[in-house]
Amino acid sequence: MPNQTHDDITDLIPAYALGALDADEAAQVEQHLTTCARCQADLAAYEAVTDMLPQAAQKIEPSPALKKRLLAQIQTTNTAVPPAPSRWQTWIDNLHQLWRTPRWQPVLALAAVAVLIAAFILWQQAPPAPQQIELTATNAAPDAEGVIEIATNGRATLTVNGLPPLAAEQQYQLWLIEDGQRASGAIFSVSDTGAATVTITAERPLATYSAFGITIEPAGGSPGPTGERVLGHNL
Amino acid sequence: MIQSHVFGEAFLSTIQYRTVLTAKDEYQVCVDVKQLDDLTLMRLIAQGNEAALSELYDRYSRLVLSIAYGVVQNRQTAEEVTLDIFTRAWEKAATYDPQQAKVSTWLVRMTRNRAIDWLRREKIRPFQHSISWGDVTPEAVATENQTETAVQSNLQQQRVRTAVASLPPDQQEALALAYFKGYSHSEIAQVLNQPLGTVKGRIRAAMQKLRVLLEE
Ligand SMILES: [Zn+2]
Repeated sequence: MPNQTHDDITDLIPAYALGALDADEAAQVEQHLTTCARCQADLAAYEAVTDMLPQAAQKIEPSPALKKRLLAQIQTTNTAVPPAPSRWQTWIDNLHQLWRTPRWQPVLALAAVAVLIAAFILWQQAPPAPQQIELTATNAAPDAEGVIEIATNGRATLTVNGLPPLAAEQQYQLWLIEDGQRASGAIFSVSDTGAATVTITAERPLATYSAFGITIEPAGGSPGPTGERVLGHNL
Repeated sequence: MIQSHVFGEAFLSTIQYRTVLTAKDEYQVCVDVKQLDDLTLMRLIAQGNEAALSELYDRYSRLVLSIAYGVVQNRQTAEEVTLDIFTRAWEKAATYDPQQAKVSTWLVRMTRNRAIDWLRREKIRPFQHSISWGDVTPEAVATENQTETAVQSNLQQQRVRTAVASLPPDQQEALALAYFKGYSHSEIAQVLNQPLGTVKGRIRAAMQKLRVLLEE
């Protein structure tokens, strides 16, 4: 391929950013881009233009049913946050490949022992599972579900589903109960589908409370529970 | 003063939260997804937060659907593409890299690519290219309850429309074929029955003018 000069290539950058170059020209641009800072800067500017273009598209309003379908779909595939493909597994697979190569076998035999020892140490250090506290729905919100999860570092989150969305002047409030005293743990609103995830704030570790409850309160929360209880748990 | 024992997720530091001080000196964290920026929404989505996905959809479903419709020119298919994009956002949120692109850009690029893939798979090459950019006249958008971000994005949209509308019609047409159909220079030349050089000139002139008009 002839050594393209900057002047030949610079005119192609706008079309390259748009993805409109034919394959041969695109390849020439790519090669030149590896060495030309001016063209790289031009490309960034034209890519920004390209990314803005859809703002000028004819606007279409999604049908309300589409959002319902999306939310229903993610409920069924609620393996959200799937465990990332284990690097460990990939590594073991690679080792298997190597194992088939005879000259690596003695080295690998030693390595395998080291891995076993390392795995044993890791296993001994495996953290305890996070603690979960399930909340039970009351008649006020029979479809509601809630769970408090306390991570091993003491951090706690509340996740709810199926709580009725409230008017703007109301919010839900989580109460942490001990010896008849009720402390506020979170004040929150829920999505259209009644879902929310909030971080719980407390004076002391959550495991030391004897009960939890969620009530409907004026927006911003109350000093103590005043409204109807929708979810609860007695330890 | 009671020593406060604060529980918080790692993402908490990036969440805009308000603390409410009560008589008991407790700090309470109250998260309203509407107040969160796009990046924080993505982090919550990566943790499986449905309220955050719902908010992302409310912010960008119109844009995503409009791109998909521009490409496939069929409402039902465009809605399927939109559903697919937000399902992918739900599943792939953890792989989103803020260094690479803004959240909106990430969605826009993914939508354009997916929709054009669909077009190529279905081998749809209509003779009639009824491609047009949106009307320049401002849309009647409800402005009450709009966040500052929403107002900003409406202004931005207006700016881009005005810029595209200022291009000669033949440049608008070539640009639309490249952006929405993913056509190359030679494909556009074939479709419009114009010399290749003419098409190259139109695309270049259109992009150069838009760059001048849209650069901050
Ligand atoms: Zn150059």
